[in-house]
Amino acid sequence: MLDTALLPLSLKESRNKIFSMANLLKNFGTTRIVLLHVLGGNNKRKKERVRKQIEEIANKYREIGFQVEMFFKEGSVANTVVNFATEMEVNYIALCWQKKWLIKRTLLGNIDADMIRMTDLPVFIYKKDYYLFKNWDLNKVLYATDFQGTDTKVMPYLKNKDFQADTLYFLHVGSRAPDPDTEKKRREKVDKQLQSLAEECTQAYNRVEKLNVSGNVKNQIVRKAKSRGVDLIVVGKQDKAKGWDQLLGSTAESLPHKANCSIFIVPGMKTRRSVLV
Amino acid sequence: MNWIYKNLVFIASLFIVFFFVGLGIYNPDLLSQVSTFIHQRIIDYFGWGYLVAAFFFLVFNIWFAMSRYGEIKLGKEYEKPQYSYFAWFSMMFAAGMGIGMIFWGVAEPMSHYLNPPGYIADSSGEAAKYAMRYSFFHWGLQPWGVYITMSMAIAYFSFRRGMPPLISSCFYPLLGDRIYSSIGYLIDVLAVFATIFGIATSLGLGAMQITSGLGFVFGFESSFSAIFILICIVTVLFMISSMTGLDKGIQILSKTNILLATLLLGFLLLVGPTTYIFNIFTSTIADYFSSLFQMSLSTHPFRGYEWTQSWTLFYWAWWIAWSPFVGLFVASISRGRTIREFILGALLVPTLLAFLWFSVFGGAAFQIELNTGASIAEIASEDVSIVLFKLYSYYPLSNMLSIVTVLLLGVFFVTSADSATYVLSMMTSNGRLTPPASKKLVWGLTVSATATILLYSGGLEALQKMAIAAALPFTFIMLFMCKSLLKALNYEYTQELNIEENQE
Repeated sequence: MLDTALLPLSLKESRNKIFSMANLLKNFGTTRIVLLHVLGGNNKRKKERVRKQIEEIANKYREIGFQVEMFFKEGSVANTVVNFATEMEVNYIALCWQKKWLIKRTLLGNIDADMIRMTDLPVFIYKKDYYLFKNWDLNKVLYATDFQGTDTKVMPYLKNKDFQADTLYFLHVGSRAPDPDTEKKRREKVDKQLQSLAEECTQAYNRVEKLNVSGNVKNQIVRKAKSRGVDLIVVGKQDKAKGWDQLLGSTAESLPHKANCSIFIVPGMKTRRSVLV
Repeated sequence: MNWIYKNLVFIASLFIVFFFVGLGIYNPDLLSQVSTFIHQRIIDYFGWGYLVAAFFFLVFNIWFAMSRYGEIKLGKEYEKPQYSYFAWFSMMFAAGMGIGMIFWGVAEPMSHYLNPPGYIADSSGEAAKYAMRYSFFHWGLQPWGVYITMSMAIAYFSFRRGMPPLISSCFYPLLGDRIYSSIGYLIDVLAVFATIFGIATSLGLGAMQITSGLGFVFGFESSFSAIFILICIVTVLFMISSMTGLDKGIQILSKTNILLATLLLGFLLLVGPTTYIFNIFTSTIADYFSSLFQMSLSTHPFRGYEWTQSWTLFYWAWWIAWSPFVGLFVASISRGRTIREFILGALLVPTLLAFLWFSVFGGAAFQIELNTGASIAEIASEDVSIVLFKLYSYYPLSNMLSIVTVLLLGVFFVTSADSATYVLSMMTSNGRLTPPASKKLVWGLTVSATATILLYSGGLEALQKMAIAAALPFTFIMLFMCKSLLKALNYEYTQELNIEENQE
């Protein structure tokens, strides 16, 4: 399912981070990596230097055990990456997340965030720093579900035998009901839904746990992931953002800014744009 | 121990009351200094916030009434309104602002006419227009916008969601079970604090005004013993009314009030300058609505800022501080109405009645002031309590009018104190709709004793300022209450009503 990954590189990423990510990608069952660099400008010497650097990375990836292809494109970075990923029929896009401060990303934008917003492919965002990350295995994974259409898209990935982790948490962050009685019923209903999801995955993990909380969705996902020492958050992405989310970005889009672990975003449905493409 | 835990709000509130009353007796100057300092700082630094908040509440209510949530009932689906429209409006009006309007119906337009902001020439045509417009503004849509926000939230969470009618209950969607902890108690204690000090000062200062009005009519000097006797009579009456229960006591009194008020209003309208009054009514309504937006948000920072502080901002703080009491009371009489019906009814009818009241009494006063050369405006700026009786002296049957007015004031007084006792007892009995008689007795006597003692020691106005200071936390509490209500209604609409529709 996650056999081929497109890895866009700006070459501003630290080498150690790029290589440590490669070890993690193995947990997804990935065997083929497509490296892509989107060029800016026509400086021949610079192009040559970039080619050499990408080749170095490709060789290192080959040493780890991946099949690697390299491509160079020109144009708007986010658009080019998204279109190329569709064209190459990769299974997902893997990004080495580079943190940008709020002011910087407000003024200059954030290409990674644009890619997450625009693509209809799953996106893996690698956030761990090399020096903090000694263990290449995925230990704890948290799936934040809203029981909407994204479950049908995400569950196949979680049940996939290539997707290897020790513990899986199912988290639902709900809106609290207006009174204690209704809230009790709501929580019972959520527990049942979480239980049915958990039962689907009991075979694939050593431990499956359910977390049923209420409050702010983004904050609670980040908080629970941090308190449980989660390595990877899995979320579904819905294209139909409502209310403030239209302005501030959906949960999936804003999680990479807030969470301090890696994130795997699975799109829920095809957008009109991707159908046209 | 269990009793203490169950009565935590009651005990904490009584403790706070005794502390401030004790301070008012022991050192009224210190209480005055502290309260003046807090009150003035809040008005200085946060005055603009009151304007914005009051306008927000008004817009929020109008939007709510027009929105998809308007159809939702403040009660179970099968419930019908408990009171008729007449009883509902009467009680709402009596609790909300009845007594204040009797005092200020003549005094406020006259006072603004004589002392407008610096940039308007006093006693001019422009000042008269301004006086009427701002009298409408201070007693119009905004105060009811504040009250409705509070009462709608309480009514929704109590009658539809089955929670106790407490202000803390409104925060369940935001705080969850934490409403049963210190933060919930704090909100309820603050509401009791604002209510008891508000009603105690209202009772004390009102008794003082009634006595001086009576003295003017019947020719005797107002003294502490006269005020004391009046407070005693009012206390006995409202305690009797309170013990008979909400259904009987307050309802009968409120209906009597409205009939008496209509009688006075009708008399002055017919015997007074009818055409002149209607001219003022229609032109001030036009003036009010065309400048509502500007009045709602302007603190006049360049000129007239002090006037805005001492009138508009004072009023706004007062309405907000008074809102826990009125909100809880109005909620308790609005069970079974839809949100739309509740908002439109509570917003438009009392406002229209207030406009009519100010037009009749203000218009009658203007006609005499401008045409006979009487110095009504001057009297208004000197002593608010006698200006209405002074106006009557230019009308036939003036003694009869004065007696009816005193009666009206007395009944309004008893109604306010009765409903406040009921609300205080309810708030300190974990929201029981039929609070125990013992708590009614405790709060009734505490209110009267506080008013009498501080009137004697001279700390009553300081206490009023403390009550108004509670408006600051309540502004924030109410803003969060709006968010909580919206969240709850959104949940109901999307999760529950949709499920029911699907099941059908």
